[in-house]
Amino acid sequence: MAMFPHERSLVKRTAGKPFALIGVNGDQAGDELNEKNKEAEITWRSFQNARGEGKKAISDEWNVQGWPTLYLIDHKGTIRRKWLGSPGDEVIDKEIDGLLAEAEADAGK
Amino acid sequence: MRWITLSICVLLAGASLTWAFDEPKKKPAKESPPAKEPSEEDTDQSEKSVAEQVKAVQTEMAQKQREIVKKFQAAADDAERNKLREEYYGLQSAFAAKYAVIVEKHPDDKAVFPALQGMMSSPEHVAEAVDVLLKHHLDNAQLGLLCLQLGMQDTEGGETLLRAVAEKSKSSDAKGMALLALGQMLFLRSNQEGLDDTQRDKLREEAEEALQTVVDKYADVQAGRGKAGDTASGVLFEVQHLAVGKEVPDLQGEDLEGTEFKLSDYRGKVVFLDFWAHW
Repeated sequence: MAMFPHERSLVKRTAGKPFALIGVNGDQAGDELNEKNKEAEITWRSFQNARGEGKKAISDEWNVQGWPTLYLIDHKGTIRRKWLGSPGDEVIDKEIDGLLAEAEADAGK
Repeated sequence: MRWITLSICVLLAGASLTWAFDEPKKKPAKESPPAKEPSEEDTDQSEKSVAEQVKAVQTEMAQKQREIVKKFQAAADDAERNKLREEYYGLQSAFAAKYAVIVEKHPDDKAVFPALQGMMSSPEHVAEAVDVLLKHHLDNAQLGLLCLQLGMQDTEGGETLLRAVAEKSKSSDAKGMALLALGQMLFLRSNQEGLDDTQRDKLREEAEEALQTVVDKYADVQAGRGKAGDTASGVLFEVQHLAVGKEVPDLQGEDLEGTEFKLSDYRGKVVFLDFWAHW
């Protein structure tokens, strides 16, 4: 929850760049949640963690051991960083900027 | 580092302190306040049994934690919450120092086990706690749960203890949990920055070996809320598919409006994938 302010600024800062913040949300989906997200200005897209009866939740499939769990994936689809618990805003920013530079260099080739 | 230990304690206990996962502390451990007690209390303590002394510290710490959580829930803004969070983590060091005083006097008493456990979550006291645990408490079945907790962070003291328990403990429960935790710890390490592929592969090979042993020999050991075999299989899946350097498996599901989409729709972009919730 403490990550929302940083994520809001992250989304603004990376506008127009080859970047996407994607969530996997563990709350009960529905109007109440959508209202809450609107209030908290959570504009980025999220998967619903629960996938309905008889199907494994995403967090079970991915063996998520705690929330937040964070993955940073490069433009080629390779997992580059993985954190259980936030490593802090500065670390996240630095890592994302590094990968964005790689992506932009590749696009410019 | 301490935040994660705390979180795992919380997970194991099934309590509702999940906020502990937010914003881990990266700062070096602070100096513990000196564990001085008024002389009156000293006299008082010498009359109590070891178990009572440990219990008294536990009760005092729980009381302080409850007070902070209460304030946290009523806090007005992030600044205040951050301050309280820091205070919460500070408690572990302060109370580990109190535990250390008891352990020093009664290292081989079974009743100091919870005190040793408390010391393990304070970086300043880990080495001492590991030393006493190896010398006097290696066959204690409770060691298993402590091992599980240690597997969630990569520490030298933790690794020493896990390897010793996996090798030498007479409790098969403790052995199984130590192997599981060792597998988790080595996998964690393999995902850290600054390693080349050979180093990563070596760590993962050893992690897989430990986890596979758990699946083959210790599957039915109760490890926290689940069976050791199931937990080990989950981590094995991570080692094989969700490790740093691997191609991310595709994810498919519905967004919060109910529209189907895939993670691979975003290929070509840098993706920050966040497992989050409002709780």
